[in-house]
Amino acid sequence: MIKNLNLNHNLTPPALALALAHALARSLALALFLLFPFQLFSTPPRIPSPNSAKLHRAYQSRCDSLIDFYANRPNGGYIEIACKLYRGKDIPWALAKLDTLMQNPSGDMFWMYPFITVTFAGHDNLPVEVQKRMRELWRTYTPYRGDTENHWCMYYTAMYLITQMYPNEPGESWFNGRSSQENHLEARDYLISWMDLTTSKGQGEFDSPDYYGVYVLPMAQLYGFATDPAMKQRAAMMLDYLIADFAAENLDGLYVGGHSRTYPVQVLEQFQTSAAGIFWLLFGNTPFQGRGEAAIVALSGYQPPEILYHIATDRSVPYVHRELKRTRHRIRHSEVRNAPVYKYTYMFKDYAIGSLQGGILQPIQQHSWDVTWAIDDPRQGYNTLFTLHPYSSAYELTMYFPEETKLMTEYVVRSKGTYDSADKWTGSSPYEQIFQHEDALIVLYDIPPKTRFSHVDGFFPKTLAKLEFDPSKWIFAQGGNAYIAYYPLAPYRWKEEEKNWRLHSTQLKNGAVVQVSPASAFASFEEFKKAVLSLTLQTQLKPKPSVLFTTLRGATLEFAYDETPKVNGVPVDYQNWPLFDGPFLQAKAGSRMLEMRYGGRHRLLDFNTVSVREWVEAIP
Amino acid sequence: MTKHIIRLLLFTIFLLFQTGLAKSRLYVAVLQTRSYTVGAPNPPAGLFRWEGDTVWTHLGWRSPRLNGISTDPQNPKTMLLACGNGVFRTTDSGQNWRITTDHRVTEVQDIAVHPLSPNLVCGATAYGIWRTSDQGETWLSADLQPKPAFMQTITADCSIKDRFLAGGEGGVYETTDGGKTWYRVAGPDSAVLDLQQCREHPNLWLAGTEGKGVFLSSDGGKSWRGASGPISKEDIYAVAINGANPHQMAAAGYDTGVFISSDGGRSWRQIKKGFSWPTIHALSFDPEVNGRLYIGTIGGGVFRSDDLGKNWQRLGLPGAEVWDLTFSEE
Repeated sequence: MIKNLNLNHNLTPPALALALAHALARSLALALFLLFPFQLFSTPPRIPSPNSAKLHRAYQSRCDSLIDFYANRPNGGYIEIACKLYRGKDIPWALAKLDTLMQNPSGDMFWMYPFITVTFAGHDNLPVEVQKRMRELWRTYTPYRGDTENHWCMYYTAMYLITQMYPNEPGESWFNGRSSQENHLEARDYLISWMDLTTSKGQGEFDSPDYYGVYVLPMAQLYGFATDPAMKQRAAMMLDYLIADFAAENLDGLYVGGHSRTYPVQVLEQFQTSAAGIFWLLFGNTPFQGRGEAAIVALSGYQPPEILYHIATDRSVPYVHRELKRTRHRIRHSEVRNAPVYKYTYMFKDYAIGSLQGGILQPIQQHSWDVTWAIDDPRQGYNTLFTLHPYSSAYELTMYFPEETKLMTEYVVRSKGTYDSADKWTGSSPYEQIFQHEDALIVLYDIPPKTRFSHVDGFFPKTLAKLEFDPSKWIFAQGGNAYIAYYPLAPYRWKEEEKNWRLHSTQLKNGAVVQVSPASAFASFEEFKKAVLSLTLQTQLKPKPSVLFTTLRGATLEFAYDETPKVNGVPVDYQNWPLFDGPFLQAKAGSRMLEMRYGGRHRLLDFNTVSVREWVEAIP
Repeated sequence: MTKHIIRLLLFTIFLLFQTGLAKSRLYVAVLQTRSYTVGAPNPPAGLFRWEGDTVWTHLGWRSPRLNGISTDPQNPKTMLLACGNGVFRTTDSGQNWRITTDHRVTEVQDIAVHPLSPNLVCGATAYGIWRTSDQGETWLSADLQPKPAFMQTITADCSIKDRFLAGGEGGVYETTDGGKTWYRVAGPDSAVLDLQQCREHPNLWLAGTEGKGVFLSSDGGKSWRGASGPISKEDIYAVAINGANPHQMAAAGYDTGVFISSDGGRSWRQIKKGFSWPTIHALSFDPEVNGRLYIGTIGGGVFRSDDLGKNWQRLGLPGAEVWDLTFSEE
């Protein structure tokens, strides 16, 4: 090793010490390489495989077609302008449209991100005088920073990039009176602190199929347009991170299980989300839909590492995947600023069942659990089943928003119209508790009297291939190739609605036991029913709801309201819940690291050192 | 005769002097539409200055979350605003603005410039209290004991240097070291939504609370007693004391109309007539006209009464939600 070191006799003592340290480090690396049965790579971070070129070509083709999709549209807004300018197509139309839009900017950070896309992606075809007018808007238009994590990510990414483009300008030239340098440093500081928080405690606005895109797009913009190599590297790593997060919990491009936020339509039609649009672009594992967020990824030049493709698409072996997230910042009614969120998802090619632990983990739009089954065309939707208590309370809202208690609900209903609706299909409840083990789940409710909307609803779509009510009270269903058994703990009414049935129960002490199985595990649906009917099931509702249930896989689950659940007599260890845990992703809480694994391949994102490492285990 | 002319001349000069030096202007913090949402194309919101009749001038940002206004009494051209995205400052009467805070400071609910040392400013935020001793150039997080998550209101003690009172989810807090350290004082056992001091009688303080009406202190905020009667169960967003007659007080909140007391807070009568917007978030007595009361409603703009609520005059800003209302010397 020393022989390979180009010793320069003119080196100063510190430089010599540094050179020797490097030599020692190389020796250590070589020793590790020889000692351990895998190959060690530090850089470059991506190891090619026989599929790499093919996957890359396919991805690039989707990028090109998406950019063309927007560049060829006869009308539209900023994304169409950006793609046309990027392609050099319809430039007069694009500039005229841009001129119109610039006359009355609005939308705060939802103006900032597409405007930044035009500014950078379309830069080469923007005449100087147009660039000047665009620059002037950053002085005259006053975008609001917003009040959610995604707002801030978009806002500060835009501030970071625009002040990178105009680096030495005084406060008077910016809408907020702060100089280029002040804005740039503040934006950088926020973005890095958000990355650090996310990779140590999880996202606050976590796993939202609808808002997924507004995290991916600012990271794509940073990756594509930042000139600082360190920020570019961070952005690439955060893109890998966000994509890995979804990849392990997607079924044909649909984001399954528990979410921090979703919408009334999207909770039933999961394809209609930015997450699905972006996964079409990244992996082609779901049908095409035009999504501006995805177009920004395409324009950025980002390419997902191959390992993510496999994690996103290989569902040949069922697996349990756990994640730790956090609530958004709590400002009232809480001792902690960010309470932990424990996610649990069981994935298989035919179905997924996933959950949060229940309680108010996010205001307004939480989705606490569901079963989702694979269908031939994910665009059809209605391939999901879940329950909820439609809670509506200023208590929940003021936990997360600063407005006055009695004004709060009205303010929320302005933009989230179903929040105060008794028959809504989204939302959290402080009286809902959930426990899941593999593909069995127990959900319990203990709703105090006089609670607004004191009932429990269950969503059963009409797309179910089978639906049978057994005298034992079990409800048996088949969705795609998934058999589903649902045991309601309390009496209910069965109400028909346009595209679904609603299991409606007004019992305050309530709950359900859910067991899912691959259809392929049984000779017939009848055999599945027999197997479920033979399982041990003990339930009670008073003094509080509780369940003892032996699953199809032989585990005995005990869960009582307000008590720690047990599996085979052992309490679930929530204290040591990992940031990521499953066959594909591993990360310890607080680590600021994420290791991806697939078929002997490993990819480690280390945000402590802002580095990526890949290696391959030697497979006998 | 000469004596009378001289007296009249002197009186005229006095009046002109008074008017010229002490004329106050009314400013309000406004959300201009009830259908506002983040990211939507909203009409102008933020700071408005009353020009008389129903005429208002919008100043600075179209800020959708302007919660509080405070001016430097020694230099009224300097004004600080408590906003959802930080603390804004102007030093030229609203011509130019700067956000003085960075990403660490957000959801600023109220702000107070200390009148005895105007470089000292404290802001009440959803995440505690922040302070600056250079009028916003640098901000530091204050130490609160016990730590509350949420602070709603803050007022500088006009008679004691370095002293402020603040209110929030945990009740009333006091600092005597310029905002560095804060301690909870014996006070209302409810969230405190507004705090006001009588400038002319500085030991007299009034607090509005969530669900428990108003509380009064006559010892500078050291101890508090709640008002009885129907007001005692209300959410009170705004309180005011008439400096020229400290027996006159006003309070208002969620669906309350206006409560008036003419006996120093012992009894309160409720007025809901004369305006169609019973939820009121801001009110103030006119510092120059004894007994003149201004209210800022949620959804109906600004109203004024010269007879303690018997009759009201609408001052414009139709549809506006008025979050704060303050007078500043011109």
